[in-house]
Order: sequence, then structure tokens, then C-alpha cells
Amino acid sequence: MVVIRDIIITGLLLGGIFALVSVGLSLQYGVGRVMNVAHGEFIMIGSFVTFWLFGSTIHLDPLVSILITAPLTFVIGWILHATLFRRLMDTSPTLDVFEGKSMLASFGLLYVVQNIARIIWGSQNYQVMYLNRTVTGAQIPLNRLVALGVVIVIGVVFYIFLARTRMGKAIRASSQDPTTAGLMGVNINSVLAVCFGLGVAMAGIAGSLLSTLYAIQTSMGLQYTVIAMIVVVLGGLGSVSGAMIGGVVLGIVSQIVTYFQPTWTLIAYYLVFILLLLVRPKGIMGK
Amino acid sequence: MMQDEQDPKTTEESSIASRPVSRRQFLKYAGLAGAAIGASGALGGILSACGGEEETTTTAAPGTTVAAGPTPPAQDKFVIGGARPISGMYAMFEQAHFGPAYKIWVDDMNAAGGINIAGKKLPVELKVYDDQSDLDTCMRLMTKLMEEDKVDWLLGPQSTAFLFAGAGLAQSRGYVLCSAEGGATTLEAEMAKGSLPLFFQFLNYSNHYQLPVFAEIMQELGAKTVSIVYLEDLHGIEYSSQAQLFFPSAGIEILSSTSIPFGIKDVSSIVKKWQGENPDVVCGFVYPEQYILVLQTMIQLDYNPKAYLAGPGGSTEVVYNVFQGAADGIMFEGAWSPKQSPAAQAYYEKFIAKVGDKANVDFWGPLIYGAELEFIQKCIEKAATLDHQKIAEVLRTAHFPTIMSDDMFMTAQILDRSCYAGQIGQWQNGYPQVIDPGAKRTAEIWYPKPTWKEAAKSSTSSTT
Amino acid sequence: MNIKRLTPARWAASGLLLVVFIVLSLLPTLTQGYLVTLLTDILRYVVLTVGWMIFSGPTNYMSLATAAFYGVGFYIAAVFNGPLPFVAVIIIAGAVSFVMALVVGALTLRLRGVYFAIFTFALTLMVTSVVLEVERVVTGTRGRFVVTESTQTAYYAMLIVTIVTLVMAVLIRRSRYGLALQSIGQYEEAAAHSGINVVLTKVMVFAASAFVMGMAGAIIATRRTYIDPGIAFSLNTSFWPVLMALFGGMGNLVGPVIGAAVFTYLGELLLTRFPDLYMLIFGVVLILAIAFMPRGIVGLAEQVWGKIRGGRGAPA
Repeated sequence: MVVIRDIIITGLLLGGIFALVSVGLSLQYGVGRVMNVAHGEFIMIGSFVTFWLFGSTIHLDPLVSILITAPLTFVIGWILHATLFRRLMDTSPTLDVFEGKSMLASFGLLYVVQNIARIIWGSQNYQVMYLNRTVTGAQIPLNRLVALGVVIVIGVVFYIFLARTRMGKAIRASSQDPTTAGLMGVNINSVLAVCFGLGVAMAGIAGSLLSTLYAIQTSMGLQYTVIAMIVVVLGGLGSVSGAMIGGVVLGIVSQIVTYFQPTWTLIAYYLVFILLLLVRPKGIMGK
Repeated sequence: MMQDEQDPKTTEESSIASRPVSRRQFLKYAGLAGAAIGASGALGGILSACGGEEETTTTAAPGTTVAAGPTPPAQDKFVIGGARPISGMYAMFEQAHFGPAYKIWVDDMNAAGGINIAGKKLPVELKVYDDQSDLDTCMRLMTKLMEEDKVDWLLGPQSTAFLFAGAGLAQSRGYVLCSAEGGATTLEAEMAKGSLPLFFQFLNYSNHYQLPVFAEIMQELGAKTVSIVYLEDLHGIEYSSQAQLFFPSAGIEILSSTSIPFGIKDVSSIVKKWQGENPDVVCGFVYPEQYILVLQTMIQLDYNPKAYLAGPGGSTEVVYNVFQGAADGIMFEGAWSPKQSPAAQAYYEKFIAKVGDKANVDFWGPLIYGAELEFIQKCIEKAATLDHQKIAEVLRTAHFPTIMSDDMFMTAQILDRSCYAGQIGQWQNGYPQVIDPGAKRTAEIWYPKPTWKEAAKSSTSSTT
Repeated sequence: MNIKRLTPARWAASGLLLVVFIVLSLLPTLTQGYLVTLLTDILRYVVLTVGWMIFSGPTNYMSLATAAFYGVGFYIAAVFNGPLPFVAVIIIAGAVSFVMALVVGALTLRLRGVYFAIFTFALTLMVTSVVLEVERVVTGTRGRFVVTESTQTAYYAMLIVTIVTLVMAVLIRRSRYGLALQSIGQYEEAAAHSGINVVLTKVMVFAASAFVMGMAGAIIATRRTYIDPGIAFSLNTSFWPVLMALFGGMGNLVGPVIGAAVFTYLGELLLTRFPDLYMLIFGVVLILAIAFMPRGIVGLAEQVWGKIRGGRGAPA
């Protein structure tokens, strides 16, 4: 029983981390059709900015530093979409072509961002030691609990944003039918840029928290992109709640396998993913 | 495969003969393919010109400069080439392990007016390419360095797998290759067969003699049981299998040996398993990314084994960067300590100046690399030629004093055991100490190590 | 392809082709140096890129499984080269990749667009992890030593595989399969209704492209002495052919060939000239190429050529 309880608790916590890493990508693909391979690089940027602020003289609390990383990464994302991806949209005859091109452009972005980060921060491993203890009485690591809390907050806030605000409604309209939304007076370009920016900002927030959970390195991005892709497809492309569910599913699967044979963890990720894709290509929450 | 030379033409002609319709299309495309290759060459030429730097033309390749007697070479510089991981997942090694060591070496040689070949001082030039931590790229660039750039000396590539591939490649091109980061357990058999006469191993590794020494230390401390976690890569697999050889024979029982993949994100079930097994010692044959997670989980669950042995990267001050005082008492594969000798202290200071950051210095390799490069230089100067066969002869038999050992020499192409500063180290009050049994020990072993909480508390005052 | 007659330009192109292949086949006797190694490498990417294009170009199914098929070739070479003759090893490698692609192709029939891309990507990752685990459990280590072949042998083998690939690409394009593939790419349901066996066409062409990838892998492996799963299934191998095809232009077969050649050479130049800024420059070039050369180098060249000719007939 203890084993099952442990697997569920640690699986949920890990699922929270996976969901955190993935919601941004889900948004970017779901609304903007950009399969952003550089997603992990923005997580890395979030991590390193947090690490840098924590190590500096102001010794900024990693949770507080979200207030800096989120707007910073939002602006980066917004600018990228307003320049690069908008141009690709304009020059692509079909959505298929745009998906291909934007994926490859983000591959170029991955190279650029990673190289700049390496010039600034080098290639060593770092980590922010923060809340590295368990909740009294239970063996639940506090830093992971905080990460789970943040992802739930992001989910709720984003849900309210989509449901209640003007921009949120425009985003929902654009993701369902961009042409009609455009006809109804929605400024598609600005909606997409905001969406992409929000996706990058979520990567930045994830990065801030990851810097307290794992070793960070300037070449760390791609592994998180891969996790995010798996989670997003598991949950259903474009569904934020799907990303949450996908994250938890992957977290629990991962903990079950790790308990029996840790080396099979990655194989299990891919296997679950491949099987699900074959059985239900639209994902758990897909329509 | 000599008949191959005819094959491309036959294929081409038969396709022309049998397929008159597709011929024009095929010819057009293939023609443009050829043009493309030509065009890329032209583009390359333009870009080369933009690169600014002139092509290095060394007048002679090693192997062709067979000078009888100490005749100075005709060339006027000595080019050292290497394909190193400037970017990618192994970039930290280039940044803080072998990278600074060879740069210091080149600076030192040039400060002295160059390397002395048969009475002629040749200034040294470095030619380092980025292999992106990718073995395929690394092998191609090493081939380029040997075949096109015809460098005079080749730096070792990073990591064991690269060393395995590189040793054979350099051998086939008649180049001496000396190890950088990476061990030679699997290469030993090849070397014993005599198929790699130009390969020389300097860095110590699992069976040479880190794990035998660690087994001795455990015996001395009275540790009886050990649990192992290892990474599913060459380093981890090699160390765990060598541990299976050396630990039981020293009367130490291995309670469990768990392999983990790169990118594992939760190891709490493994730490809980250890809590149940309660071994005296935990060995983590993993890289920094994983041992940081393992240590962090141990701290969170407040699990305190009497000793913890860390793998590569455990020997760098990165552990203090991350864990501050709590890192006190961790043992690591290595090892050297600046306290050992004035020469070691001087090299430590040089190294910090080169890396630019105290927190990155490694206490496994650098002193060995420094001594290795000094030794190589002395051997080349003694050989008084650029002929790699002759330099290899000298390397095999020479004895020289270096910063690490008063008498440095190779036994069967591997650096002799007596030359090392140490095999196993321990962090004590933020400082690396060598804990090998015997004269090399620089401090008494802390055993059992302080608990994570005690260590974190006691050294908050002592760390700078 | 609206010009059907042999024009002087075509005669010139044919002549050029002949010269190029004669030069390429005589090259190793003219030079002993690094050029042969570099050309082997360029031809490898030509094979992978054209191989990728055969299937993914017309159908718009972006396959990222190139590394899986290529890596299988590596392992076949590691296991069989030495005991079996090199030629047999190359063919076995191609055949195994072919069969693997048949299975993968049959499994993925329901997937389209980005799902297909992600599936093939995950497949490569899974094959890597599985091989890694099998090696750990079965052989107790991670990598293998490979019986090597000489630079010249590998070069000629790669040249032959390149020619095979190009011939195959042309034949498929000109056959009814080529048309079928294009109609699948444009509108799959319509293609199915018009009597095309969509399933068979897709799977067979996918497998054919895997065949040449496996052969290329087997040849390159014999130049590497030592291989492990990280080397054999490097993700670069999946992404690069896509980038190269896009960089060169996907309109016809010339594009991928030029793309592969320029890309490989450019990459090496940057790695050796600007090792510290390699990724930065490479990334910027990539982004600019995608943003400002929507039809690749070939498209750009046609545009420029069209301008020079001043509208005297649109370029093909």
C-alpha cells in the first residue's frame, strides 16, 4: 500500500512538472499551429534568468522571479511571432506548409537561443537550492509541491482568461475558425502573437520553477521539448486541460516503471505515446 | 573492392541504355547535382575568404618528415589540432576539464618561445574545431585535421566513446593519440594485442585504479555493504561492471545495482530502496545532471549513508555551487589536491586564471592533463623530430619529472600507477582532499560522513 | 516540366552530368586527401535528403524517422561487416530498413500532418532507448567496434548508392506512383476515390526511401571504428535532411541535392572557422533561408534567372 501511495503521490507531483513544461507548447500549437521545437530553450532561459537573479546580490526568491521571467519571455515570444512567424504565415500557401516551415524555423531558433545562452552562462550545471525539504510529517518534497501548485494556478487563471476576457474569447474563436474570426472583426495577427507570447511566457515560468528542481545547463532545452511534445500529443494538441491530464498520466506511468526498472522509464514514455497515437490519434482530450 | 572503381560508370551507362525516356530527366538532375557540388565548393571558397584567417600550410605531414638525426624541421610553426565539444551536452568538459589544460600548455610553450625541435624553436598554433558533442562530427573533423590540415599534434577527444573511435582513426593515419577525458578499459585488450601502438592512456579510470583503491578504502573503514546507481552509458556501465569485479573480492557485498537512463526525473523510489537496504556506502556512477538529482532526493528524504562516492563532475566545485556546505564529506573519483605540492598549488592557480571561475575547477583530470602535456612536450623535444613513430618510441620508454610526479613514465602505453596524485578524493570543509591509503593521503577520512544537515550547518561559517 | 524538346541548355546539362560523374568516379585516384572523406559525407546527405524527398516531398508527410532507418544500417554493419562481404552488408542493411519501414508505414496509416512527424520522431527516440537497453542487458556494454573499410571503398560504395537513389527518385517521380503520391499530397480522399491504392503506394514508397537510408548508414558505420546508439540514431540525422531539402528547394530533385551539398559544406566550414559561433550563425542562416527563400536555393535561382531573361518565357 505504501508503495502504491508513493507512486501516486510522486507521480502526481512529477505530472505537475510535466504539465508545467507542456502547457505553453499546447497553446502555441493549438492556436498558432507552431510546433515550436525551441520551446525547451525558453524554459532554459527562464531557468537561467532565475538562477542569475537568485545568485546576484538581490538574492531574489525563485517564486518572485516569475514576475520577471514571465513578462520577459512574453515579450520575446510576442516579437518573434510578430516578425518571423507572421512572415512565414504570409508566405505559406497552405496550413500544412506553414506547420512545416514554422517547425523548421523554430529549429533555427533553438540553435540561436542556445548559442547565446552558452556565451553568457557557459556550459556547467547549476541549480537553485530552494525549498529543498519535505513537508513535515509526509515525504512530499516542498519544491515539487510548489510546482504543482503553480501549474494549477496557471490552469485556473488561463481558464478564466479564456472564458471571461475579450482577448480570451478572440483566442477561442481564432483557434476554432481563424477565417470567420477574422471576418467578425478579430485581429488575427495580434491574437496569434499574444498567444505565442503567452506560450513562451509559460515556458519561462516553467523554467523558473525547474531551476529549483533539477540541474540546469544551457543545453538542457531539447529534452524538455521532447517531454512537452509527448505530453501535448497525449493530452490532445491545443488543449490546455489535456496537457494537464497528459502530464499526470505520463508522471504516473513514469513512477510505476521507475519503481520496477528505472532504465525502462524513457522506453515507457515513448511506448505509451506511440500506442496512444495509434489507438487515439487525437489524444485523450482531443475532439 | 577494387572492381568498385568500374561500378559507378556501369550503373550510369546501363541506366542510359535501358531507359531512354528517363535519360534526359536523369541527366538533367544528375548534372545539376554535379553543378551543386561545384557550386558549394565555390561558395565555400568565398566563405573561406571571408573567414579572414589564412590556410595553414604546414610543409610536412608527420610521417613524411623522417629526419635522420637531429635535423631541424623546415616548417616554422607547430600546429596542434583538436575536435572538442565546444557546444552540446559535453561542453562543460571543454570549458573546465581538458580545455583549459591544453590552452595553458600552448600559452606556456609560446611564452618560452615555442617548442624546441632539434634546436629550432617553433611557435605553437592551436586549431580547435567544435564537434558539437557528436561523435560522427568529431571523427570527421579529426580526419580533416590529419588529412587536410596535416597538424603536427592531435589533442584527445572528449569522453570514452570518442576515445575508442579516435584511437583507431588516429592509428590508421599514423598519428599518436594521447587520451584526454575518457578511460581505456575496453581498449586494454586492443592495446595488449598490439593493434594500437600509437595510443597512450594518461587519465586514470575504473580498473586503473579508482575502484581497486576505493575497495581498499572501504576495507580500511570497515564498510561491508554498498548500493550502486549507474547511468546507462559507457561510463556507468563500465564502472558498475568493474565494481562487480573488485568489491566482492575485497569482501564487500553489493546489495543492489540500479541503472538509470539520461533524463530521469524522479529517483525517490531508488532512494527509498536504499533506505530499506541500509548499505554502508552508496556509489553513484552518474553524470552531474543525475547526481544532483540523486543527492537532492537524499537530502529531501534525509537519507544519510556513511559514505557517498560521486562519478564524473563530483570532483568539481560545482557540487559546492549547488549544495553549499551539505556537499562536505562526499567522496569522488579523482583525485588531486592543491595541498599536495607547491607544483600542484601553482597549477591550481593557473587553472583558475584560465577558467575564470573558481567554482568550475575539476579535481580528477587537470593535474594529470598538465603533467601529461608537459611529458608529451619533453618526449617530442627528446625525439627531436616530428615523426610520430619516433615520438611514440620515446613516449613508451621515457622517464621525466613533471608537476604531478618526480618520475613520470608509461607502462604498456598506460601511465604507471605510481605517477598519479591519487585515485579517490573527499570534500572536506569545501576543500578537495586525497584519501588513498598510504603516502598519497592528504587528510584523514571523514567516516561516517556528517549528515546532510550537520554538514550544511557546520560549514556555513567555513565556506567562503 | 513544360519544355519537352532537347534544348542546348539540356545538352549542356547532360554533358555536365557526364563530366561530373567521370570526375567523381576518378577522384580518389587523383587525390589522396581529405576531399574524398568530405565528398563521402556530402553524398551521404544527398542520399538521405533525396531519400527523404522521395516520400515526404510529394505527400507532405514529414517523416522524422530518417535516423531510425539510417541507424539500423549502422548496427547491421557493426554486426555483419567482417564475417560477410561489404556488398552483402550494405544490401542487408537496406533490406532490414526496408522491412522496418513497411511495418512503420502500415502502423501509421491513420496519422497525418504533425501527428505523423511526431510519431516518427518518437519512434526514433524509442528505437534508440531500446537498442541502448538491449546492449546493456545482452552485451553488458554500450557500443560496438566496427570492422572498417578504406576511404576509397566507402566513397565508391556511397557514390553507387547515390546514383541508385537518384535513379530511383527519377523513376518513381515519372511512374504512376509519382503521380499517385502527388495526388495523395494534394487531397488524400480524392486520390483514394480516383482508384489509387493509397495504402500500398504510401507504404511502398516509404519503404523504398528507407532502403537507401539503411544502405547509407551501413557505409558510414564502416568509417567510424566504434559506434553506440547515440551515434547511430543521432537526432541530427532526422532533422538535417528536412532542413537540407527545404534549404535547397522542394520543387524538384535538384533542390535537395544542392541543399545537401551546400548545407554539409557550410556546416563544416562554420564548425572549423567559427567553432564558438557555429550554432548562432547556422541558426540565423536557417531562419533567414526559411523566411526569405520560401522555395529554397533553386527557387531563388529560378527567380533570378527569370529576371535576367526579362520575361522571355517563364522558367520551368
